[in-house]
Amino acid sequence: MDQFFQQLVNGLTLGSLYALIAVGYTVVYGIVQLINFAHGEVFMIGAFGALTTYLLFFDGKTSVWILPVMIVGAMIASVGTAVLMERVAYRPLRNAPRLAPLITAIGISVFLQEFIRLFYERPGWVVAVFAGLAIALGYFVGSTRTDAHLNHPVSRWYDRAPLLGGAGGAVALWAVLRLSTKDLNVGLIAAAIVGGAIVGTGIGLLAGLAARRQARVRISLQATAASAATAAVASEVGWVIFKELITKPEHNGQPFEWPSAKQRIPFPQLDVVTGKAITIGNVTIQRSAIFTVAALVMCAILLWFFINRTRLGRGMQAVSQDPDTARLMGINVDRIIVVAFALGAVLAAIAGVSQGLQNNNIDFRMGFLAGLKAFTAAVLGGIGNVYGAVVGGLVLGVVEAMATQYIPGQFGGSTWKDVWAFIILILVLVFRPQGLLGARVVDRA
Amino acid sequence: MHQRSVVRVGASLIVASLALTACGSRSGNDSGGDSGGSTKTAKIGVIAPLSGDLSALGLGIQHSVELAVKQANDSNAIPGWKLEVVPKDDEAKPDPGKNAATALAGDADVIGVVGTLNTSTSQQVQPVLAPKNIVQVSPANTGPGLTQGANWQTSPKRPYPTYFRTCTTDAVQGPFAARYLYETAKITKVATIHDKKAYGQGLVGTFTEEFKKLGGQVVAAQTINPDDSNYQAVISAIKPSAPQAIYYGGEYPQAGPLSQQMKAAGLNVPLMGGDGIYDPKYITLAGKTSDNDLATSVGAPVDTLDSAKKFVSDYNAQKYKDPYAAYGGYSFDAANAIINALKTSLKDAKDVESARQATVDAMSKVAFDGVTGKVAFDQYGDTTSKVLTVYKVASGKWATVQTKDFETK
Repeated sequence: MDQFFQQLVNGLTLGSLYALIAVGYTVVYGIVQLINFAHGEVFMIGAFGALTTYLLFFDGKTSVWILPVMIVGAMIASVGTAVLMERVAYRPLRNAPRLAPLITAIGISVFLQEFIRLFYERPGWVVAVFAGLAIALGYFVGSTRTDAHLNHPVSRWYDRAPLLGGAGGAVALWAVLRLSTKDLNVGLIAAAIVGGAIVGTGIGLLAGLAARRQARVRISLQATAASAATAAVASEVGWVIFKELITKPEHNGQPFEWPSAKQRIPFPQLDVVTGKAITIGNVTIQRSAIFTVAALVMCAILLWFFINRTRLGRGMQAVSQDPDTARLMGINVDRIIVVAFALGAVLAAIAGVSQGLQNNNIDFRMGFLAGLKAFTAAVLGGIGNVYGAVVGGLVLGVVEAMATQYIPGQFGGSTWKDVWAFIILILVLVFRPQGLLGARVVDRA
Repeated sequence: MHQRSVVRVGASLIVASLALTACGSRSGNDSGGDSGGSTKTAKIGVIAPLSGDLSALGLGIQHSVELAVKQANDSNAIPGWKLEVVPKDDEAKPDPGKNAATALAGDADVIGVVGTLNTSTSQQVQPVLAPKNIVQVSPANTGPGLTQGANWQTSPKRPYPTYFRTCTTDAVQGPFAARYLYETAKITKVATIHDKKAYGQGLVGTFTEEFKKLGGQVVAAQTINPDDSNYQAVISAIKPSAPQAIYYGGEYPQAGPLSQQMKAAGLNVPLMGGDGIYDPKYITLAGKTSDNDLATSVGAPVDTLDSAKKFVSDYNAQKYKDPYAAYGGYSFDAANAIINALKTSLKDAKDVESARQATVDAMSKVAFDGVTGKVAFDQYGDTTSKVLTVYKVASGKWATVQTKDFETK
């Protein structure tokens, strides 16, 4: 009996982690009926994003004020991954038979795990990401300089050709220049920018000429030049960031090396949220546990506020009830879906930071098992139901902790805790298939 | 119309490019003549975890074997023969290990293998190498069953005559730790944890037996899942029985976080483990609270023996990317044991395959002074030297506490 409260605390801590990740699963399922198996990897990438932020800016320090910055870094990493995943892999499969996105999700999960494992210590791929961002930024700035509509369903790629040619040409020149000389002197940077702008404009004009037969709108020279110049500047800025920050030349007198993700990487232990545990009576509460539970409470409140009191939240409710009618009502369903993915990713990022603080190391495999348990928690609480995910996560965590402590003999202990957790899931689903709080899925009547 | 011309142009382009690639690198395959001539090649395989969590230990094993082979080649230890190292990654798991062993067994030039690191992997590798008479010398396997059979406690029987090892077994390491804790550290109540793998479970088993025989009390016995990273439930289950130390059977990727979480949860007792946790990475993972944690390892510390000093300086001179780690000295001795056996067996052999049985026979008679002490094998293939050392973590590094020869009582 004396261990009951201790194991309750342990269970709630573990459960909070599952709950934060489970919300991501449940929100996505409620809106697009897709079990996003890659969400565990979004959680893992959030943790790695926090670690990267720490290593880039705060290496060696342990002040607790680093924590918000790390959380922001984690969110950028995980939201970026989730939104990219949605655009690239799930949106084209929106109308495919249900099996296709499911297998795609599993494939993305494996891809992300291996990508982090192999490329975390070799940050060269960041340059390619910066190049892509430069092209996107150039296109965006160019499109604001012209008042032509660039989204006509038939001819939009021909309409966009000059802007994309401009941005692409600038980045191409930059790439050729940077492959030959990697230094950072001002003359070279200026040459890259000016040269990129000129060459980009030229290529943009050529592209416009080539597409002139099929295009509906004409892009002015000014817009093309703007897109080329912006892309050139953005790619140079990216290169400077890469050289100065990411491949830091000196660090305490030794060249900086990114830790290899092929093994567990120690996670920074910050001051207030880690350290000596707090003892109340005979219950020991870890500081990172308090952080996790507090994070869950705050996220749950903010989530309630977002879903019930903002337009986007109301839009999410509408789309999860009936996407077609929502579209008729003027809700941009595509944007709502992106918001759903991003929302799940934000919570997964926070979960990643708390897992790192609690276990003091992160690993490229940690997303897989945590994702599986979180999905179980989401189903346990009622798939599609956000509060169900929270309750399901907490229940699963507490059941695991209690099973470790109270099941005696051969079938007890931590060896069998996973078994008991899944037995509870089976029992709940047999007697109450809609989950504890009731599922909320689209009524396809 | 338009489409057909595209196909025509495309097809001719593909044919032309294939023809061009065929013109080029034909010369690459002639590796410098001499095939039927004077020097024949014999290969020594290495099966160890070259990637993953335990790669620090595995790469140390690989480089130590490479050093031994390089020295043998440079000094022309076996006239008429050149030795080559073939490293294979087993990822510290049985199935990749079996695949690695199958690949080596299928190669007709392989005469011996140094490996593996993990006992559970060796259990899959032995039955693949043994039928081909390829001698296998392990620098790090400590499971007693590998040389003395499944019933090693009651009726030892050697399962594979091709398997040898240069390190002592858990039948010695577990009781050694038990004696240190009970007699030297005066600890009478211990809780045990293991990771359910062959090594950890065996080590905890022998430890528990000896500890109880000495009069100590094992107050809790728990297990963890090696894939888990959160051990709170186990720590909370052990805490109420108030042990004075925790004995952990397993490796450092789990032991490090376990130690850190234990101390953070208020269970402030030393964690003791076997050679699987004796690595600098353990201290990195376990953090600042790991002071006073203990580990045993086979043999005396490599840097204290005179015979080892030359090994250390030679190893550093080669500037390998990774340090020799805990098993570097043992791997060097294992490779040299194979080389010594090859001096007898390859002398009059005309090819590698016919020399394999002679190598196995010569192995059992090998005796020389190696880096870790005297290298010789008993009738089971176990090493005859039973020296072990206890290490303690002090200010962020492993420090030697006690080196002793284990006497069977």
